[in-house]
Amino acid sequence: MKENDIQSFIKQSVKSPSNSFTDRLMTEIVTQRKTETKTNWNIISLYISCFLIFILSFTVTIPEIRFLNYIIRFSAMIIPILSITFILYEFYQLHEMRQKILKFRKNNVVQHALISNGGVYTVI
Amino acid sequence: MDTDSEIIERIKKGDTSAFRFLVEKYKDVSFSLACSILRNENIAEDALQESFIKVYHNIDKFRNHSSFPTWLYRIVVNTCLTFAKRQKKQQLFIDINTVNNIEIDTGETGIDRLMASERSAIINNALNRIKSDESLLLRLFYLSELDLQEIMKVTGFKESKIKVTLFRARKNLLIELQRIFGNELILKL
Repeated sequence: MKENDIQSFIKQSVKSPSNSFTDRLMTEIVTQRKTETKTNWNIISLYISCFLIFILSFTVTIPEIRFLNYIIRFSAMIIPILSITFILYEFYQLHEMRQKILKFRKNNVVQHALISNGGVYTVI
Repeated sequence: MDTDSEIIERIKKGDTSAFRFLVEKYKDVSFSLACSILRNENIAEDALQESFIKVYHNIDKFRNHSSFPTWLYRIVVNTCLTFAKRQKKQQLFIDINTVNNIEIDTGETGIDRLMASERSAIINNALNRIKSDESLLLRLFYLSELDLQEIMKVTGFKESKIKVTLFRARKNLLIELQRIFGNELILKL
């Protein structure tokens, strides 16, 4: 068999995805783009809020406490430290949630393939 | 008609609809490559969708160091390999008999179209019977018409491995076709 014959064989073997493939893909891209823009704005507003909380925390001080003969005074840095700890903890929680969503989406791809394939796959 | 680089420039400027032209142009070859690796059309379609989404999101990173098809096929191959690993992790396996079934498009009326469809299914059947890397390289070399350097970029294989695998792939494809038809029928294809 000559090179040209093989090439002609292979060219005849070209496969096409389903008819709705391009439409589904474009819909997915447009949806992702919209979600991305929305998410970007949410993230920006979240950053601004955190920044404001941190700045404002410098203006707040804990009043001194009189306890028996003692007076307990708090450092002016206590509230900013607490606010930054709170903000970092919230970011950590958001990161965890993002990881969970990504993991869920990855698993869903295989599950979707399993369902759409009508039992062609067998789980050992 | 716009060239790839013109379409890519339009996409970079935010024209999402231009991406449709690229998808239409390359989806068939990319899908054939995905089928070579994953051996299942449903999963190959999912992998292809993910690949094109990656291409869309990373199109800004594409510099004309290599041709667009080479870059695209590398993403398709890598995504399919990730899908294959994921399948392995989930301990799934493909029912080869179902995949290798010859599909004849009965909805078509023209006898020529029916014969072409049947012929395509038979060749795909033979390609599914040889090893994944062999059918992938055959499709990259003959269908995508990439040269050895480009195939090296797409697959990450060495030149010597590509040459040896292609040689073996041609031989094995011929054996599979002979098994299906016998010697004399190959000439009729």
